[in-house]
Amino acid sequence: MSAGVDRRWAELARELEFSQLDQLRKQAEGWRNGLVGLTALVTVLAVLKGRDDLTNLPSPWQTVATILLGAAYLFLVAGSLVTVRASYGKPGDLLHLGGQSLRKWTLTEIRRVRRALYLSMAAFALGMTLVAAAVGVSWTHTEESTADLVKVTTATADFCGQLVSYTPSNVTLLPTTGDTAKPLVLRTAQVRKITPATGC
Amino acid sequence: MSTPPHNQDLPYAQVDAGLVNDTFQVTADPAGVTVTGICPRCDGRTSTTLPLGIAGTKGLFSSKDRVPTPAEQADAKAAETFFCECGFAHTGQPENTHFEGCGAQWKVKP
Repeated sequence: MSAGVDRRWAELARELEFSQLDQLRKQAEGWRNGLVGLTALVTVLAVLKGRDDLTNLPSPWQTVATILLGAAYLFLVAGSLVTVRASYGKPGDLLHLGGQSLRKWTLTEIRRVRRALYLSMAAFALGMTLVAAAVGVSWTHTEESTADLVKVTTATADFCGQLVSYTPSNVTLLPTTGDTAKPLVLRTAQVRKITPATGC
Repeated sequence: MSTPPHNQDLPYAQVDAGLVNDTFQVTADPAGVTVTGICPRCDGRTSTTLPLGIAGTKGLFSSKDRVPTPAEQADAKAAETFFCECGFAHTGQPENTHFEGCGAQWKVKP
Protein backbone atom coordinates (compact mmCIF):
# COMPACT_ATOMS: atom_id res chain seq x y z
CA MET A 1 0.00 0.00 0.00
CA SER A 2 1.33 3.42 -0.91
CA ALA A 3 2.36 6.03 1.65
CA GLY A 4 -0.43 8.31 0.43
CA VAL A 5 -3.09 5.67 1.06
CA ASP A 6 -1.67 4.99 4.52
CA ARG A 7 -1.91 8.69 5.25
CA ARG A 8 -5.52 8.85 4.03
CA TRP A 9 -6.54 5.99 6.32
CA ALA A 10 -4.74 7.55 9.27
CA GLU A 11 -6.40 10.90 8.62
CA LEU A 12 -9.81 9.24 8.40
CA ALA A 13 -9.19 7.47 11.72
CA ARG A 14 -8.13 10.76 13.28
CA GLU A 15 -11.33 12.45 12.10
CA LEU A 16 -13.49 9.60 13.40
CA GLU A 17 -12.12 10.21 16.84
CA PHE A 18 -14.09 13.45 16.92
CA SER A 19 -17.36 12.15 15.52
CA GLN A 20 -17.95 9.25 17.87
CA LEU A 21 -21.04 10.67 19.53
CA ASP A 22 -22.69 11.63 16.24
CA GLN A 23 -22.01 8.17 14.90
CA LEU A 24 -23.39 6.58 18.05
CA ARG A 25 -26.57 8.62 17.85
CA LYS A 26 -27.04 7.77 14.18
CA GLN A 27 -26.60 4.10 14.96
CA ALA A 28 -29.00 4.25 17.89
CA GLU A 29 -31.54 6.06 15.70
CA GLY A 30 -31.26 3.41 13.02
CA TRP A 31 -31.71 0.58 15.49
CA ARG A 32 -34.64 2.38 17.09
CA ASN A 33 -36.38 2.78 13.73
CA GLY A 34 -35.77 -0.85 12.90
CA LEU A 35 -37.05 -2.11 16.24
CA VAL A 36 -40.09 0.20 16.17
CA GLY A 37 -40.93 -1.16 12.73
CA LEU A 38 -40.62 -4.71 13.97
CA THR A 39 -42.76 -3.94 17.01
CA ALA A 40 -45.45 -2.54 14.72
CA LEU A 41 -45.26 -5.67 12.59
CA VAL A 42 -45.59 -7.92 15.62
CA THR A 43 -48.51 -5.88 16.93
CA VAL A 44 -50.37 -5.95 13.65
CA LEU A 45 -49.78 -9.63 12.97
CA ALA A 46 -50.19 -11.05 16.44
CA VAL A 47 -52.69 -8.77 18.10
CA LEU A 48 -54.87 -7.10 15.51
CA LYS A 49 -54.95 -9.74 12.78
CA GLY A 50 -55.21 -12.58 15.24
CA ARG A 51 -56.15 -16.03 14.09
CA ASP A 52 -59.42 -15.39 12.27
CA ASP A 53 -58.10 -16.72 8.98
CA LEU A 54 -57.13 -20.04 10.47
CA THR A 55 -60.19 -20.86 12.52
CA ASN A 56 -62.07 -22.35 9.59
CA LEU A 57 -59.28 -24.77 8.74
CA PRO A 58 -59.86 -28.39 9.66
CA SER A 59 -57.28 -30.43 11.51
CA PRO A 60 -54.43 -31.02 10.70
CA TRP A 61 -54.30 -28.14 8.23
CA GLN A 62 -54.82 -25.60 10.97
CA THR A 63 -51.63 -26.85 12.63
CA VAL A 64 -49.77 -26.92 9.31
CA ALA A 65 -50.79 -23.35 8.47
CA THR A 66 -49.91 -22.17 11.97
CA ILE A 67 -46.45 -23.72 11.76
CA LEU A 68 -45.89 -22.26 8.29
CA LEU A 69 -46.95 -18.80 9.43
CA GLY A 70 -44.88 -19.03 12.61
CA ALA A 71 -41.77 -20.05 10.68
CA ALA A 72 -42.40 -17.32 8.10
CA TYR A 73 -42.77 -14.79 10.86
CA LEU A 74 -39.48 -15.87 12.45
CA PHE A 75 -37.65 -15.67 9.11
CA LEU A 76 -39.07 -12.22 8.36
CA VAL A 77 -38.17 -10.89 11.81
CA ALA A 78 -34.66 -12.38 11.61
CA GLY A 79 -34.23 -10.94 8.12
CA SER A 80 -35.30 -7.51 9.32
CA LEU A 81 -32.86 -7.62 12.24
CA VAL A 82 -30.02 -8.70 9.97
CA THR A 83 -30.86 -5.85 7.60
CA VAL A 84 -30.80 -3.33 10.44
CA ARG A 85 -27.43 -4.72 11.50
CA ALA A 86 -26.14 -4.37 7.93
CA SER A 87 -27.39 -0.79 7.74
CA TYR A 88 -26.31 0.52 11.10
CA GLY A 89 -23.54 -1.79 12.27
CA LYS A 90 -23.14 -3.91 15.34
CA PRO A 91 -23.27 -2.03 18.64
CA GLY A 92 -20.25 -2.57 20.80
CA ASP A 93 -17.70 -3.31 18.10
CA LEU A 94 -14.50 -1.59 19.27
CA LEU A 95 -11.11 -1.04 17.70
CA HIS A 96 -8.10 1.19 18.09
CA LEU A 97 -8.64 4.18 15.86
CA GLY A 98 -5.46 3.98 13.83
CA GLY A 99 -5.31 4.03 10.06
CA GLN A 100 -4.40 0.38 9.62
CA SER A 101 -6.84 -0.86 12.27
CA LEU A 102 -9.57 1.14 10.59
CA ARG A 103 -8.64 -0.21 7.17
CA LYS A 104 -8.65 -3.80 8.43
CA TRP A 105 -11.97 -3.27 10.22
CA THR A 106 -13.49 -1.65 7.13
CA LEU A 107 -12.54 -4.61 4.93
CA THR A 108 -13.98 -7.03 7.48
CA GLU A 109 -17.13 -4.94 7.84
CA ILE A 110 -17.63 -4.90 4.07
CA ARG A 111 -17.59 -8.71 4.10
CA ARG A 112 -20.01 -8.79 7.05
CA VAL A 113 -22.44 -6.35 5.44
CA ARG A 114 -22.41 -8.27 2.16
CA ARG A 115 -23.08 -11.50 4.04
CA ALA A 116 -25.83 -9.84 6.06
CA LEU A 117 -27.49 -8.56 2.89
CA TYR A 118 -27.45 -12.03 1.32
CA LEU A 119 -28.78 -13.53 4.56
CA SER A 120 -31.58 -11.00 4.85
CA MET A 121 -32.59 -11.52 1.23
CA ALA A 122 -32.62 -15.28 1.75
CA ALA A 123 -34.64 -14.93 4.95
CA PHE A 124 -37.10 -12.62 3.22
CA ALA A 125 -37.53 -14.97 0.27
CA LEU A 126 -37.96 -17.96 2.58
CA GLY A 127 -40.39 -16.07 4.81
CA MET A 128 -42.51 -14.96 1.88
CA THR A 129 -42.49 -18.49 0.45
CA LEU A 130 -43.75 -19.83 3.76
CA VAL A 131 -46.44 -17.13 3.90
CA ALA A 132 -47.51 -18.10 0.38
CA ALA A 133 -47.60 -21.76 1.40
CA ALA A 134 -49.72 -20.92 4.44
CA VAL A 135 -52.10 -18.87 2.30
CA GLY A 136 -52.25 -21.77 -0.15
CA VAL A 137 -53.13 -24.18 2.63
CA SER A 138 -55.72 -21.72 3.91
CA TRP A 139 -57.32 -21.30 0.48
CA THR A 140 -57.39 -24.96 -0.46
CA HIS A 141 -58.47 -26.42 2.85
CA THR A 142 -60.79 -23.88 4.42
CA GLU A 143 -64.25 -25.34 4.86
CA GLU A 144 -67.18 -23.35 3.58
CA SER A 145 -68.61 -21.23 6.31
CA THR A 146 -71.54 -22.88 7.94
CA ALA A 147 -74.32 -21.30 5.95
CA ASP A 148 -77.88 -21.41 7.20
CA LEU A 149 -76.84 -22.24 10.73
CA VAL A 150 -79.63 -21.42 13.09
CA LYS A 151 -80.34 -21.71 16.74
CA VAL A 152 -83.85 -22.95 17.44
CA THR A 153 -85.37 -22.28 20.83
CA THR A 154 -88.28 -24.51 21.83
CA ALA A 155 -90.30 -24.72 24.99
CA THR A 156 -88.07 -27.49 26.30
CA ALA A 157 -84.56 -27.00 24.86
CA ASP A 158 -82.32 -25.18 22.39
CA PHE A 159 -81.11 -26.83 19.19
CA CYS A 160 -78.50 -25.73 16.72
CA GLY A 161 -77.79 -26.86 13.18
CA GLN A 162 -78.19 -26.20 9.51
CA LEU A 163 -81.73 -25.24 8.55
CA VAL A 164 -83.01 -27.78 6.03
CA SER A 165 -86.68 -26.87 5.84
CA TYR A 166 -89.38 -24.89 7.51
CA THR A 167 -93.02 -25.88 7.09
CA PRO A 168 -96.13 -24.98 9.03
CA SER A 169 -95.85 -28.29 10.81
CA ASN A 170 -92.11 -29.01 11.15
CA VAL A 171 -88.73 -27.38 11.35
CA THR A 172 -85.93 -29.63 10.12
CA LEU A 173 -82.31 -29.14 11.19
CA LEU A 174 -79.16 -30.98 10.22
CA PRO A 175 -76.99 -31.11 13.35
CA THR A 176 -73.35 -30.10 12.97
CA THR A 177 -72.24 -32.25 15.88
CA GLY A 178 -72.96 -35.82 16.81
CA ASP A 179 -74.80 -37.73 14.10
CA THR A 180 -74.62 -35.14 11.33
CA ALA A 181 -76.37 -37.35 8.81
CA LYS A 182 -79.58 -37.70 10.77
CA PRO A 183 -81.97 -34.72 10.42
CA LEU A 184 -83.54 -33.34 13.54
CA VAL A 185 -87.26 -32.67 13.13
CA LEU A 186 -88.94 -30.26 15.52
CA ARG A 187 -92.64 -29.43 15.69
CA THR A 188 -93.23 -25.86 14.62
CA ALA A 189 -95.82 -25.38 17.30
CA GLN A 190 -93.13 -25.85 19.94
CA VAL A 191 -90.69 -23.40 18.39
CA ARG A 192 -90.43 -20.15 20.23
CA LYS A 193 -87.61 -18.51 18.33
CA ILE A 194 -85.23 -19.10 15.40
CA THR A 195 -82.08 -17.00 15.29
CA PRO A 196 -79.10 -17.09 12.92
CA ALA A 197 -75.97 -18.62 14.41
CA THR A 198 -72.33 -18.31 13.42
CA GLY A 199 -71.45 -21.66 14.98
CA CYS A 200 -72.94 -24.49 16.96
CA MET B 1 23.47 6.13 22.76
CA SER B 2 22.62 9.78 22.88
CA THR B 3 19.56 11.17 21.16
CA PRO B 4 20.34 13.61 18.34
CA PRO B 5 18.81 17.08 18.71
CA HIS B 6 15.47 17.86 17.10
CA ASN B 7 16.22 19.20 13.62
CA GLN B 8 13.74 22.04 13.50
CA ASP B 9 15.24 23.53 10.35
CA LEU B 10 14.11 20.55 8.32
CA PRO B 11 11.34 21.62 5.92
CA TYR B 12 8.03 19.74 5.96
CA ALA B 13 7.88 16.86 3.47
CA GLN B 14 5.66 13.81 3.28
CA VAL B 15 8.42 11.24 3.29
CA ASP B 16 8.02 7.51 3.84
CA ALA B 17 10.87 6.46 6.15
CA GLY B 18 9.92 2.79 5.66
CA LEU B 19 10.56 0.24 8.41
CA VAL B 20 12.42 1.64 11.39
CA ASN B 21 13.97 -0.08 14.39
CA ASP B 22 11.68 -0.56 17.35
CA THR B 23 12.86 2.09 19.79
CA PHE B 24 9.32 3.15 20.61
CA GLN B 25 7.63 2.84 23.96
CA VAL B 26 4.01 1.80 24.28
CA THR B 27 1.73 2.80 27.10
CA ALA B 28 -1.91 1.96 27.45
CA ASP B 29 -4.93 2.98 29.45
CA PRO B 30 -8.65 2.33 29.04
CA ALA B 31 -8.86 5.16 26.52
CA GLY B 32 -6.34 3.64 24.13
CA VAL B 33 -2.74 2.91 23.24
CA THR B 34 -0.03 5.57 23.02
CA VAL B 35 3.19 5.01 21.08
CA THR B 36 6.04 7.38 21.91
CA GLY B 37 9.52 7.69 20.41
CA ILE B 38 11.84 9.70 18.21
CA CYS B 39 10.90 10.67 14.67
CA PRO B 40 13.37 8.95 12.29
CA ARG B 41 13.48 12.04 10.06
CA CYS B 42 13.57 15.16 12.25
CA ASP B 43 14.58 13.44 15.51
CA GLY B 44 11.81 15.22 17.36
CA ARG B 45 9.98 13.44 20.15
CA THR B 46 6.71 12.16 18.72
CA SER B 47 3.70 10.64 20.39
CA THR B 48 0.70 9.03 18.72
CA THR B 49 -2.40 7.92 20.55
CA LEU B 50 -4.69 5.28 19.07
CA PRO B 51 -7.92 5.81 21.00
CA LEU B 52 -10.28 2.95 21.60
CA GLY B 53 -13.43 3.53 19.65
CA ILE B 54 -15.26 2.32 16.63
CA ALA B 55 -15.69 3.46 13.10
CA GLY B 56 -19.41 3.53 13.79
CA THR B 57 -19.84 4.07 17.50
CA LYS B 58 -18.18 4.07 20.86
CA GLY B 59 -19.95 0.83 21.66
CA LEU B 60 -22.97 0.19 23.82
CA PHE B 61 -21.87 -2.82 25.79
CA SER B 62 -18.12 -2.40 25.99
CA SER B 63 -16.34 -3.00 29.22
CA LYS B 64 -15.57 0.42 30.63
CA ASP B 65 -12.11 0.35 32.08
CA ARG B 66 -10.31 -2.47 30.34
CA VAL B 67 -6.69 -1.65 29.60
CA PRO B 68 -5.42 -3.18 26.33
CA THR B 69 -3.31 -6.25 26.99
CA PRO B 70 0.43 -6.18 26.19
CA ALA B 71 -0.27 -8.34 23.15
CA GLU B 72 -2.88 -5.88 21.91
CA GLN B 73 -0.45 -3.01 22.50
CA ALA B 74 2.27 -4.81 20.56
CA ASP B 75 -0.18 -5.60 17.75
CA ALA B 76 -1.23 -1.96 17.51
CA LYS B 77 2.39 -0.85 17.32
CA ALA B 78 3.32 -3.46 14.74
CA ALA B 79 0.31 -2.94 12.50
CA GLU B 80 0.03 0.82 12.33
CA THR B 81 1.74 3.39 10.18
CA PHE B 82 3.00 6.25 12.34
CA PHE B 83 3.38 9.89 11.41
CA CYS B 84 5.68 12.47 12.89
CA GLU B 85 3.78 14.34 15.58
CA CYS B 86 6.67 16.21 17.11
CA GLY B 87 4.38 19.21 17.48
CA PHE B 88 6.76 21.60 15.76
CA ALA B 89 5.48 23.54 12.76
CA HIS B 90 8.17 22.66 10.25
CA THR B 91 8.52 25.06 7.33
CA GLY B 92 5.98 24.39 4.63
CA GLN B 93 3.63 22.42 6.85
CA PRO B 94 0.03 22.50 5.49
CA GLU B 95 -2.39 24.50 7.59
CA ASN B 96 -4.95 21.77 8.11
CA THR B 97 -2.73 18.78 8.67
CA HIS B 98 -3.86 16.03 11.01
CA PHE B 99 -0.29 15.34 12.09
CA GLU B 100 1.73 18.32 13.24
CA GLY B 101 5.33 17.47 12.53
CA CYS B 102 7.90 17.13 9.77
CA GLY B 103 5.66 15.00 7.52
CA ALA B 104 7.55 11.71 7.88
CA GLN B 105 5.76 8.41 8.17
CA TRP B 106 7.09 5.00 9.09
CA LYS B 107 6.30 1.53 10.30
CA VAL B 108 7.99 -0.18 13.21
CA LYS B 109 10.00 -3.30 12.46
CA PRO B 110 8.32 -6.39 13.92
